[in-house]
Amino acid sequence: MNTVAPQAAYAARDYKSDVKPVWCPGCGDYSVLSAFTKAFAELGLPPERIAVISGIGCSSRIPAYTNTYGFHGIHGRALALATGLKVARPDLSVFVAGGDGDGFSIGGNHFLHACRRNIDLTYVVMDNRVYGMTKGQPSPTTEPDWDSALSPGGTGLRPFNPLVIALASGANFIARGFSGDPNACAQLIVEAARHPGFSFVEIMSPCVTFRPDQRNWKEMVHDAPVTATADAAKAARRLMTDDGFNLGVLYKGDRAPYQPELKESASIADLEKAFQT
Amino acid sequence: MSGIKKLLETIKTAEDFRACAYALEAEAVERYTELADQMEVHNNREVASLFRRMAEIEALHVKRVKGDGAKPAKTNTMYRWLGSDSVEAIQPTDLHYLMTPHHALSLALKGEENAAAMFEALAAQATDPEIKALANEMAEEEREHVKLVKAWLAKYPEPDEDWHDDPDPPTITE
Amino acid sequence: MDKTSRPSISVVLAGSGGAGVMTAGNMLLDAAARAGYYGLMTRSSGPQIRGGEAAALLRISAFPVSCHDDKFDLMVAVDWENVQRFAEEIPLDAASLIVADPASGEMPQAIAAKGARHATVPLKDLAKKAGGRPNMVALGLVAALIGLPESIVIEVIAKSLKKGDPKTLAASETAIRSGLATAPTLGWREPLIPPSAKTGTRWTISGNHAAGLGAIKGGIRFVAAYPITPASEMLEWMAPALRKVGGTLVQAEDELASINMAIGGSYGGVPSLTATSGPGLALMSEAFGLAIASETPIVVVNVMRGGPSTGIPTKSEQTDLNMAVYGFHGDAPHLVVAPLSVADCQFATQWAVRLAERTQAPAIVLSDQNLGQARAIVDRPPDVAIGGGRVVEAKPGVGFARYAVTPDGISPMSLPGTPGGQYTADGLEHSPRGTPSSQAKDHTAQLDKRARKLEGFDYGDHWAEIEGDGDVAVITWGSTTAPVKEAIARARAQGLRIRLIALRLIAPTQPAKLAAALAGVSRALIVEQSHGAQFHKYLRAHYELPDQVDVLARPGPILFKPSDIVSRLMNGGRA
Repeated sequence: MNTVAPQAAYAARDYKSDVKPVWCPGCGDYSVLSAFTKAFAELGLPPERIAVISGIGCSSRIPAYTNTYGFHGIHGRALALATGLKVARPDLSVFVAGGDGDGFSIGGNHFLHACRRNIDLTYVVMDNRVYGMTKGQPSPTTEPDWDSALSPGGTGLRPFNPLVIALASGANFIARGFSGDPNACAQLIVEAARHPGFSFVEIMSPCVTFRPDQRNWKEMVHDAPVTATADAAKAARRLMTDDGFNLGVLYKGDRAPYQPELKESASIADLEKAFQT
Repeated sequence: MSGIKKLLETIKTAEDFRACAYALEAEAVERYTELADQMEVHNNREVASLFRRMAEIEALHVKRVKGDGAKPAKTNTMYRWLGSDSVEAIQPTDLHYLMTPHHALSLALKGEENAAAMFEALAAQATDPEIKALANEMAEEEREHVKLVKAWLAKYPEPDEDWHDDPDPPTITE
Repeated sequence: MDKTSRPSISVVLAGSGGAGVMTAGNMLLDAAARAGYYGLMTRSSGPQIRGGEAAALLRISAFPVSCHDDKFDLMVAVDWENVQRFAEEIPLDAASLIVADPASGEMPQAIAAKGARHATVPLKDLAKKAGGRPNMVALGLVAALIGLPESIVIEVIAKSLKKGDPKTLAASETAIRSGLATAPTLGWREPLIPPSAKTGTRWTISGNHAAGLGAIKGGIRFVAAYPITPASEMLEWMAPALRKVGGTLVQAEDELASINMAIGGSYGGVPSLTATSGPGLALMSEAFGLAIASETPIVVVNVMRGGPSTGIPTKSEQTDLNMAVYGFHGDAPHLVVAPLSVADCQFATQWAVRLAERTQAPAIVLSDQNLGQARAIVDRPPDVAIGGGRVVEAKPGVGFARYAVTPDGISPMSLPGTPGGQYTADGLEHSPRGTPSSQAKDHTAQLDKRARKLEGFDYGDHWAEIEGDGDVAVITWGSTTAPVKEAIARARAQGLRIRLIALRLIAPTQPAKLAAALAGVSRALIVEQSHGAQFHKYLRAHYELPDQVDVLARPGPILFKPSDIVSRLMNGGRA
């Protein structure tokens, strides 16, 4: 993680742009935006050294609301955009944001490989177990019995467990937060950003419009009764028996991040010589 | 409130207390401003201006706290103190785009009551007399706010049951 | 019998299963280069990964050549396993000579039917006696038959095997010498005229490698790619080459990731590229649109192959033209550049990089398998001063607008890390400041700007290669340019006056320039390798053509021979 020694402090509001969010009042993403800006302030990063990359969906609108560099890319491809940016510009602090549909459905393949590559990025997924922007279809994390227009009676499909998938694919830091506690989420993002390699933070972020049943999430979340482990097997057992509402840092690995050295050792004329007769 | 214990552990001097109070009030201003923006974006003008008024009131409070010499938080670890039961800040999930002034003021009232209770508890548990005095001062100010909001709320009776009915379905925007 | 020396000769080496004809072919080309000749080599192979039937097709010449001749003069078959697969690619006639190993059995009917002369040489036997391999015997034999000096052939084998076992080298040399010794017994010799005096540097290079070099010369320092035939060799060359010049190549999980990674790298200010073929470009279309809308420059090298769908991966065609020009949703102006020869792969790619960077637009380089996988001996292309480079705002002031509407349509770009220049790049339509907008005035302003920056750009003379004069013009593009050029040279030798117009810039179109090039031309012949005549239809849609237009459009996998085009020209446009 690129940390600049916290000099004269930045305040959270220094990272907010003047674009007003259009999320439904009541949306958990407001708290996540707040968490991001607080985290940036805590990390002491100049806004111009941060890039927030997203795909498509309600959560993916976040870059426009921050005063950092950013890219609002196409559906499911945020991690690829971010990978290219970070490898080419290792001096930047790169954050990736998106929802459960963008990240685990169309973006699923890139999620696997981003974890595997272990590039120094922080990926925050605002999981509301629904496709909000397109008016309420099931997502890969939706419960099997949730009724919807596209899947009447529920999909009957077992939902993904993104934390297990992240662990199996090689993510180096895995945590879960709840948008109801933005300050705790800020702390998770700070810790994720400071931990080298690919850090994955799932933030349960209720959708007030299409999942009003998620109002009870604030009763269901609870601090995980464990401390972060660096033991992948232990973490696997933990995550496979997770109830989906354990909050905190659940895994902190020690794999070295992927970052090729960008160093010149030859000239173009040298490259040409190989072709000379 | 376990939050109080945590808070007290970090407040060692009057200066610390002022810094904490400043942070709390500043957060409240920001939160009410954001809520006002949200309501404005969703064309709920009445509640938007109500939240802006609340933001102005809190801003006055901030000025007063600052006037006492409270500096902005030394480090951003200040935010950790605030916890999920951060007193004056309304939970985003309590909002609805069609909420009425009655709802908005009920929430604001809860926030002010929480704030008053928190400062009262701080005052009760503090041992340092200066901190005790400051906490009591803050508590008194919050109680004033409670009165103000209650009077305001009295002007808006509870709305009909169908207050959140919207005949139009949601729109896809992207 | 000794024939008169000739300027150019074409040779095929065929064989299978470990016979090593590709190795022998490459060495023959290298020997020709060392001896001061020009030439090229293409390859054909069966679908097996190893042990399959293979043919190395070479042309060696005292003067520069860019395509195969109408027929092959000499064919040496190490064995006959499945070689009939290549029958349609190996034109032979009564003057051609086929040399085969009698131990290999009967010549396939498809080859025998061509009426060439036969001779036999016990290649395997000679190889065994030498302790070497039959392909080395064949190499020596061919070298002697076409007049390459023995010393040079020995030099080439020594260089190529110097890191290995000295015994292998000695055995190979013996095998070569026994092949050389056998040549006089055949009573057939077609020596090349001595090569012209060598001036300047020459390269032996493939189109894919030339494209890689051109990319790096243009400034590319980040590549993200997914392997696909026939583009992989470009990536394989670029991976270590990039590292040497301070860049890097990331192998992505698929083409969707590749192009998005390239966009990410470019957004960060590092010129970025990906390379693929038709099926991959199809996957990239959505992200290509993102590059257009967000005005992020990238280069996508598309080495075309037989289509549609999986098609014919190892053969060439010019049928991704439609997709390259039209395959993106929305009004999506962008750049399409197509190299005209193996050597031109360097310039075309370098130019595409500079254009993309300058105009902040994505560029497709339409190469093809014929160019990409052919190895040619060429004069080192001259360095061309190409301007360009990104317009960067290093000190954004208050009110900086990333997508500001400017007279030339190009807005200064702030790079991440620059204070005050923060913006969110977006595929959504946006205002000049970059805020998403669905307003008519913003959409019109940005569409105008994105079109204007490309249409108004000065592409100079590089847009096409135009030469010669006459009332007949041949209009072509890409790899068909080489046989067209040779055909035109022959037609001119017979008194015809013909103008060549070979387009290098496919998009945006240049109507005024083509009109000028067609001044005085009353008849045009359009030559392309496409069943659906994509290039003809493209020209019709966007350009004024002369009243008489003849179209010579054929699909892959067989390449045009110069004689195919000559007969069309000589018959006044009748097939």
